[in-house]
Amino acid sequence: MSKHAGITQIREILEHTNIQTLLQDVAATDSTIDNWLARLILLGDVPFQNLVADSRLLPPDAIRFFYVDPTWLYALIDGALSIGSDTSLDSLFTSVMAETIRDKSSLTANKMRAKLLGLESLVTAGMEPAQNNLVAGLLLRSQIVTAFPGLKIVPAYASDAVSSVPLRYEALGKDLLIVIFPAVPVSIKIQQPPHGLQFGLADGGGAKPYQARLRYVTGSHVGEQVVKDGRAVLAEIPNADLFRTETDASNKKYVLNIGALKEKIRQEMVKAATPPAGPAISPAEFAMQMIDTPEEVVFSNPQLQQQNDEQ
Amino acid sequence: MSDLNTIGELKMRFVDNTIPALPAGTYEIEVHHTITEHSYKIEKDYTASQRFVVKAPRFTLPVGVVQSQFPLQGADVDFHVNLPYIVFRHEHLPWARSLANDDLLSPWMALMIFTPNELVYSPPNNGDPNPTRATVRSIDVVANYSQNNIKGPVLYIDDAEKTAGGPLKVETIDVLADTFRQLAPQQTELQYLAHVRTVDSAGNAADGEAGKQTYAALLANRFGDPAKDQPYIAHVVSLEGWANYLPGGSEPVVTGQTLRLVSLYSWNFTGKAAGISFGALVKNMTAGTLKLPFVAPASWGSDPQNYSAARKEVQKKYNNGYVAMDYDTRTGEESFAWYRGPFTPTVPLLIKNLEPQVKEGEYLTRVSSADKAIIYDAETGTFDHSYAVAWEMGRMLTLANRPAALAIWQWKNTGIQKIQTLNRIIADKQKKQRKLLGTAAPLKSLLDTMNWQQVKDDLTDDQAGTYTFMDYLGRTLGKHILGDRDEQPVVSVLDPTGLQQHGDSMPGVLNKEAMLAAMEKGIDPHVLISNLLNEALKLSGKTNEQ
Repeated sequence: MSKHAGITQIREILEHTNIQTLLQDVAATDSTIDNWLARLILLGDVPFQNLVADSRLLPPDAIRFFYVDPTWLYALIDGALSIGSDTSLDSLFTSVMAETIRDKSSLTANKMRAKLLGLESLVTAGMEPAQNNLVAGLLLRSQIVTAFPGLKIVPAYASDAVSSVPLRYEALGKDLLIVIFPAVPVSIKIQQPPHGLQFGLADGGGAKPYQARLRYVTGSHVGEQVVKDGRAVLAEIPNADLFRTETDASNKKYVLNIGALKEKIRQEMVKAATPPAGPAISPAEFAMQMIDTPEEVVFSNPQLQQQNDEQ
Repeated sequence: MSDLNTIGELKMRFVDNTIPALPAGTYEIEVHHTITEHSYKIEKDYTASQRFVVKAPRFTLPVGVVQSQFPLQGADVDFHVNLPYIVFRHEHLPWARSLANDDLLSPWMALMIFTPNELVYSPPNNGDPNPTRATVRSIDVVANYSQNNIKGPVLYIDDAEKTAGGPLKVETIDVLADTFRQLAPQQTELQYLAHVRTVDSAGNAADGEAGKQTYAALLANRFGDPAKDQPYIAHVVSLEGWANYLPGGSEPVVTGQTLRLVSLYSWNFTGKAAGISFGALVKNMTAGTLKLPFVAPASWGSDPQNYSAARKEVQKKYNNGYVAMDYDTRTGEESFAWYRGPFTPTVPLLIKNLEPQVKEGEYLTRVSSADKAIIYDAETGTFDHSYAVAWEMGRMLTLANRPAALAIWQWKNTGIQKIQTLNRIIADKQKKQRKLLGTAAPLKSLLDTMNWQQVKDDLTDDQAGTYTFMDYLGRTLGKHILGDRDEQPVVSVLDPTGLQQHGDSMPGVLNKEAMLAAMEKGIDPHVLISNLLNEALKLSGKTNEQ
């Protein structure tokens, strides 16, 4: 038997499905490899400029949704598996094993974070994302990442059968956060960390008036924010209803006109079809409308309006 | 069971107030009893009176009564949409005294926020100035005081209260009357600035806060200046005796007059206008996908339908999230190539066979070098390096991780060893078949019918070790002793006794069919032979007995 004939025979043997099935068992990768590849799948050590090649893709004060390209991950893993000698036999063997290894490490990746957090029970069977399942995520570039440690991002999915534990949730540096979800979220909710119950209004942003978050004061949803068309109702409070008349424009005091404010809020509650229990708003009802925790904003995923890769 | 409502993450209930049956003060209870007895002509009034005091904090707060406050002492904080507050552990505290005789609903205290220059203050001659600009004064220059255009609150103070525990001294602040009118809440507003809340944090709180707790809270009526960084001072002031001086009250404002208020609790902090507000930051954010905006040069015309094929391709690449990068080719030309990271704005296609010569569906879907992952678009003559970069990245990161690189290298070596062992097992089978039948079955049919469980056992780690050792004996050591023998092992690595080699030359013991069957089932011929021998011995024993 010449050497050449040997390789030909081995090639022939390796092409047989029985042999391929056998090898998946007897030559499986160990946990060191699986964990490392899972880390790669979650793009753990990939330099940021390789993730986002152009800074214009992620400007400041931006939230950017994305899909994770499985082909990219496959190429990444193939690169990792190219370590060591690369004879034609090595190459044949790795090829036979590659698909199983990818599947196994993507399953490991899907459970990795839940395991570290001790939340494995939340990733129950049937809920665990299948390998090759399209996963999605977001990049967040904003001062809130650094200024509000403990920032909560809550995804909403089209299906209930999705694990609630993100695959990755990491601040990549100053003002930069990456989250990878086990499925494609329909929308996400960004919440202020619930460090303490605060009272006040929401800043409308820019020159817009401040806003009150209306909450139910009667009925079965008492305490919850009033929601209309899937969005929390924010009542605009013009400055005239908020502050006392300033006597000195150069030295404003920003003292609240509580009398006018409570009346304005009562009107807004009536408008939102959740009037106070009595004819006037009570101190407790007023306090509830002023509760400010946790502040949250919902962003719907703009990707869902988009097409597949254009051909 | 919880009767509390869920607010965010917290379970709590809000109540307007908890007004005590009798506000604090000095009371006198009087009993009149008139007896008229006609037969004895007794007619008399009996009277009795009893003085009593309902005590409540008045000039200072009890130790440890403050549960929390916002902003924190000394904090830099943006409170331009958040009201400062203070929370007390005693739910009755804000209503323990009455503000005015006919007003039980209003709390007798208010949380007021001042800037330093809104407080009239002269630092002590000896000692450091008080950061909250309060001064400790004897009660005589506070209660019912009215001199030098300075006015104190009108209070009834029991003699006993004045002297109990030494001469009574209180912490005070001086505020100009018109400033006070600008900042203080109206009497009708006061009740909206206080409430009671019951919180149930179950076990998820420190001892003393866990379980169901009821607190009273006071809110301030002032936001921070959004345009200016400046220090602020918070005072919980007693409004006892001041009802008519509150804005809208009956007492006229005397310009230049200073009001001397009792301060029950105070702290200072800094309002940072440039501080970070969650709401403003979040609302400024734009949501989008990871792609560069495509702005076609004017020369391309306005209608994308009329673009040339190459221009359409550029637009398409932009929409799919690609970036054009400089590409210095190996041969020296300077060009550009498309690159897209792992994050895509559109649903990505799964390319199963990046190596184009491999048909999809075959097992060989692995990319074996970075160059093979470069995608060349013949139509436009451009390269897509995305997957080549990914491949190179995977290799480099793994090389940088020593344990992982070592594990992969070892896994490969072990795998190759197993394949070689497997190959030898199969080769041996073929050889035996050839000897027994004169010809070997085609490889495929052999592989189709092999006993894989047996092979699997043979390939488990310890068995593989045996084979490796046999391999060493048969080839390396054998070669060392006998010289090169053209790839053939000195002894059969799978049949050290050599018995299997001679299966066909033992016609009396095992016939050809039995040998083939044993081989197929993976049974060691030794076992068959010894079984046969045992039976033969038993037979002969029986014969002897007869």
